[in-house]
Amino acid sequence: MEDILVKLGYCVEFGKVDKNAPYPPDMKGQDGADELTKQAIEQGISAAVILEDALVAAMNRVGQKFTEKKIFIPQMLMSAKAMNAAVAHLKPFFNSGEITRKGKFIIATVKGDLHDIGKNLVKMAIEGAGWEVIDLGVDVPTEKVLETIQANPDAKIGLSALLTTTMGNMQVTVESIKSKYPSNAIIIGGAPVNEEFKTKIGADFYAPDPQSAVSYLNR
Amino acid sequence: MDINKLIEIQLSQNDIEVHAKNVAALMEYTLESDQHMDYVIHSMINKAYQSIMPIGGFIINQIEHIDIKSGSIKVNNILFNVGKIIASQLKHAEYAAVFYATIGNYVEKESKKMIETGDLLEGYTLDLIGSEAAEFMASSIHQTIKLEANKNNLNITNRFSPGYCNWDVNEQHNLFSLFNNNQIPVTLNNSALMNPIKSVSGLVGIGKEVIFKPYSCAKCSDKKCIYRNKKSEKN
Ligand code: B12
Repeated sequence: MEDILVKLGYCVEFGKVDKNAPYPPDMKGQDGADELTKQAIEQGISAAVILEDALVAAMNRVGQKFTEKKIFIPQMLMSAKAMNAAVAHLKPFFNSGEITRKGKFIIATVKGDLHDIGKNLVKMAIEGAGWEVIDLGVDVPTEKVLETIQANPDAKIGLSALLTTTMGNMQVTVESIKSKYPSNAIIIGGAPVNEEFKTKIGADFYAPDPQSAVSYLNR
Repeated sequence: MDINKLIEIQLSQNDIEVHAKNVAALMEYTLESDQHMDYVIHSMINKAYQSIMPIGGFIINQIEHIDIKSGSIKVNNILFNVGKIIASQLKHAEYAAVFYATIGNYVEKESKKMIETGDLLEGYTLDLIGSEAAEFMASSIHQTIKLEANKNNLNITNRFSPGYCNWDVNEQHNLFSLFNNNQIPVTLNNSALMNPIKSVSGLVGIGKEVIFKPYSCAKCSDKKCIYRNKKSEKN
């Protein structure tokens, strides 16, 4: 049993999605996260053990290596893809309530801003870390964020802005959230955003990259 | 020189040069270290080449006034607060060429689709290639402005964009107003964001006494820029 979990963890850490996946080259032809998760379930290993001991543990190692600059965004994306392949097999267990996610995370690029890619990278990193992510997309008005918090009262929130002009809209959104839902943590990110701006607008955390957001959420 | 007249340039996809090596460097990779990455980058470059629509244009106007102290210039009766760094580089400019450059929105759409269907690395790579291609298109327009200036025995400056060197992005509204009522394929929203995303706008000084300075990251305070010290602009 242990052996298969170790192998599965290895596949997620090094981004081996399934048997046919060409990446990483030194694992060509071997079973990947997809096959191994299926096998682990068939062997009767509990979904909770698969999730925690193999998958989340592997993503933590990935996050650690990213923080130490031993790997970069491309490898992280390969790991996330392998993680997704594994998690697909765990869906029924999530649905039945046998396993649960760590919590909900609402993510949006603020009003007036159409930048997508940074937000999407953050989304998958946080999903990979075991959170349920509700992606509101780009150019998201404050009201939509507020409605989504109302429907998901325990959710944490992530906001992205890529231009100094849309940082103004980010401020409006953060202030509105804080006046209605002061205890919901807000993480902000995007190239022109920084620690000083976070303090100024009253957000809870500034994340320069997806990994620091994951560390913050996992505290 | 044609004054206050929009000159547009459309390139074919194959005119755009995106080098796999540069894309890899933006991802903090060296190609030799990973065959798979090499493959992904090349296939995404091919994908981008199939559908990008590189187009750009510029309009030349006389500069009415330059004030280095206040960091402003006046063109066509519009005051631009370009900041001191840019104003001083425009010091001897007689004309300003205002430009836009874009590759259309295919890349951003396709990248999004790929990420949504789980091809994360491919989608991310395609997005970076789009950024490189847009930058290349901006450089091509810069080059065309140079040829136009040289024809009239004039020189050009670097290209400057709102949002860089303390020039407020909001000034995009002023910049775009110089395109008058010309239909251009790039639009600006209230937040001064251009659509398509993979677009660049800016201004180039033209004059007898102006000079082009090789780009230097040392002047810029953006320490986390992914282009920092990776790129030196040729012109
Ligand atoms: C590539 C690039 C471009 C490309 C394409 C941009 C794109 N997004 O597709 C091109 C060349 C087209 C371009 C154009 C322009 N750009 Co530009 N561009 C960049 C550059 C170099 C990288 C952006 C990028 O794609 N990064 C990769 C992605 C994955 O990173 P990211 O989106 O930042 O997201 C990461 C983090 O920020 C973080 N993150 C992001 N959001 C969130 C949210 C949460 C919750 C968390 C936890 C984390 C997080 O995690 C992500 C993954 O690591 C940045 C400089 C920089 N340092 O980043 C400037 C930058 C964004 N651009 C800038 C500007 C000004 C422009 C232009 C206005 C210039 C002009 N006048 O033409 C135009 C605007 C284009 C438009 N459509 O309106 C400014 C914006 C700041 C400002 N002054 O307003 C920047 C910051 C450069 C600067 N001057 O400092 N640009």
